[in-house]
Amino acid sequence: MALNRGRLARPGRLPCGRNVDALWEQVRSGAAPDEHVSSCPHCRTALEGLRALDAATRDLAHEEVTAPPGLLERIMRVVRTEARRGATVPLVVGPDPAHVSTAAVAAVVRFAVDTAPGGRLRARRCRVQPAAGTVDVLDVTVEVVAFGETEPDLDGLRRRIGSVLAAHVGLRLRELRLDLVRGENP
Amino acid sequence: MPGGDGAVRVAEGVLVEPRAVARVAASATRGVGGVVSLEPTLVGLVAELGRRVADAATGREAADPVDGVRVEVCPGGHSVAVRVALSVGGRCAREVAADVAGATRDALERQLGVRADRVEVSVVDVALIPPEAAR
Repeated sequence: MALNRGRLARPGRLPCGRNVDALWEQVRSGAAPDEHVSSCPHCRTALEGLRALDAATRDLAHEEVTAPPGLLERIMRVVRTEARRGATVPLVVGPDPAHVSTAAVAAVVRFAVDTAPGGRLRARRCRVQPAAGTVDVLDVTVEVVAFGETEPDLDGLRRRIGSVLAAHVGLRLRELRLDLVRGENP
Repeated sequence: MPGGDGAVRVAEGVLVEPRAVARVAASATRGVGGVVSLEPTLVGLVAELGRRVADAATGREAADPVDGVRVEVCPGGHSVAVRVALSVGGRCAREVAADVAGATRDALERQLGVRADRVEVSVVDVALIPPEAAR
């Protein structure tokens, strides 16, 4: 817009004495310019700028605002991962350290239990702690609910949890405690 | 999300903004096999959306998202520390994290001439497939 406050003769007034606010009202109402405005170079310049501003504000006011695609999904994902940013376990030490959330590791452990062959085991509470003084070694405690009459293969389950953790995360187990609970309905 | 103030000085009279560093780091991270996605914090997501609105309002081309990446310019202004938060899947998280650090360092040096003092990788989620299905 071709308006410069520093060049106005008085605040809010053009060098010819016309009030800018009055010009703005004229533009907004769509009224035809009077004789002075039609012939005055200051008013015509100001009018041109004000018309451009009016058009831009009307365009913006009518613009339909839509959320970016996938926004809700992104927010929900952030909310979910936000809960996993607490305690971590070191994965790599050195100038470029890496760590993994204990909640993510616990999810891997539960996954190993829940997908064990036979489908009769479900993991419940799981606690993951780094073994003191180590980098990639864990102590894990997990409560396992066993359904049915068959005695679960706990040695096989230990091996499975260890191999799933190693494959997905790159961590080794130092101590794995399985608290077995009997369940009635899967 | 760029986190440090100021820019990193790569040569006499040549400054690189933290946001440019973050964009290169984000791109390098996404190119590593096993990276499922970068993971912004809630604050980071809101800031990123704000930047996108500002880009749209000013008619600028929307920049690549850098959510999940924080850049801090180290004291002296000659190097940076980068923190990347991500989800992994299909590969061992430990290996992916090491590859992300290496790829980020290489990309910053090659594309911007920026030296990374430290690249810290945080794995916040692991996408899972049963071991039987992975065979």
